[in-house]
Amino acid sequence: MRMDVVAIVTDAELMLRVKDGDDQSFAGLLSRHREPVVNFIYRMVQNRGIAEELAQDVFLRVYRARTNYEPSAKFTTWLYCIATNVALNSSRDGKLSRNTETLDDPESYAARTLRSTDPTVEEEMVARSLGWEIRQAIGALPEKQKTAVILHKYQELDYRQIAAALDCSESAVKSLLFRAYESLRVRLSHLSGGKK
Amino acid sequence: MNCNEIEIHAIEYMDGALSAGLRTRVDAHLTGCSDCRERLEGFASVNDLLDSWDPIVPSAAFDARLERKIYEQKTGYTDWWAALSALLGGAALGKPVLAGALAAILLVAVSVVQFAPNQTQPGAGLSEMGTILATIEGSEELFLYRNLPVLENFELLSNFKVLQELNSSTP
Repeated sequence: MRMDVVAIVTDAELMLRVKDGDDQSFAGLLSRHREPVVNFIYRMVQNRGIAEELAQDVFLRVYRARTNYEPSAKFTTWLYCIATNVALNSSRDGKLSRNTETLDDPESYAARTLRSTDPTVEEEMVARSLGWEIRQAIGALPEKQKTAVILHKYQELDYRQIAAALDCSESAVKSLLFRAYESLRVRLSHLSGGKK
Repeated sequence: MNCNEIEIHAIEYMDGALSAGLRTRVDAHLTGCSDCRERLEGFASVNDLLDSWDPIVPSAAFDARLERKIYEQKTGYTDWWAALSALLGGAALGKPVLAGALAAILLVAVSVVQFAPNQTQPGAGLSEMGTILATIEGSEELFLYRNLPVLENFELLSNFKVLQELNSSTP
């Protein structure tokens, strides 16, 4: 019953309720955005543990900012502005241990090997190689290009929202995306043929 | 439209976000420019490839950890030291004051333990306990009592009536 109510209320309305002291509405926002935010940061930092830690910081900042919240922009725009800042600041601070494969990381070789025996060895190797190459290619992009690609491709933000998150113009976002896709095209060209 | 203009519109073209008029113009350019056509086909392939990076599911502990952070945020207790400080004397206590107080408490506690008079009765040391045990050696009950954990506590042992009776009955 509660979920039905939450489902028809907009993010901005929920946030305004949080502002008025309704913590249950914060739980509603969390249930909507927890997974997308964790995945956005996971793709940025490529480490599950760090991604969760940073995503918690994002939601903590949202909660902390509740008293000053004004629904002047779309909630997701505001949310991803915060998430982008947290991810980029973390990267600048050198907190990240990029491309560190651990058992906690579901896409690491060890975790894949331990997790499932369902796919054939060949399928497993192809998937591992493909996933690894995509992660490497995205990880090698300059920070702003990487952020733009992830927000565009996985979070499905529009150019205006990405521009707000990166604090630049929409045309700059399109330019960032063009350069990022061009780099990825060159780097992943050997995979593209098999994908068609 | 030239190749530079294609760069501006390439992503929107890939996303299907161009107006019909612009799309027609881009299509017209691509018909005659193999480089741009190849590039945009490559972009579409990359876009498909990126789909294979599956999302992760946040761990079950995510909400609990966040809740703890929010609690810390609300209460202002960011660490155990702050919580202890508040518990002992409120926020006015600074770390040096609290450290001094704790050191003093520790010092008093050590002094009490070190210099307090012996609480046990005279002759109730470990050697006396051995003597008592020796006096009842040979009794069938000795094995039973020796294996009772309660015998490790001499206070209990010395007040244990059964042992006292055994002790007095042994020649």
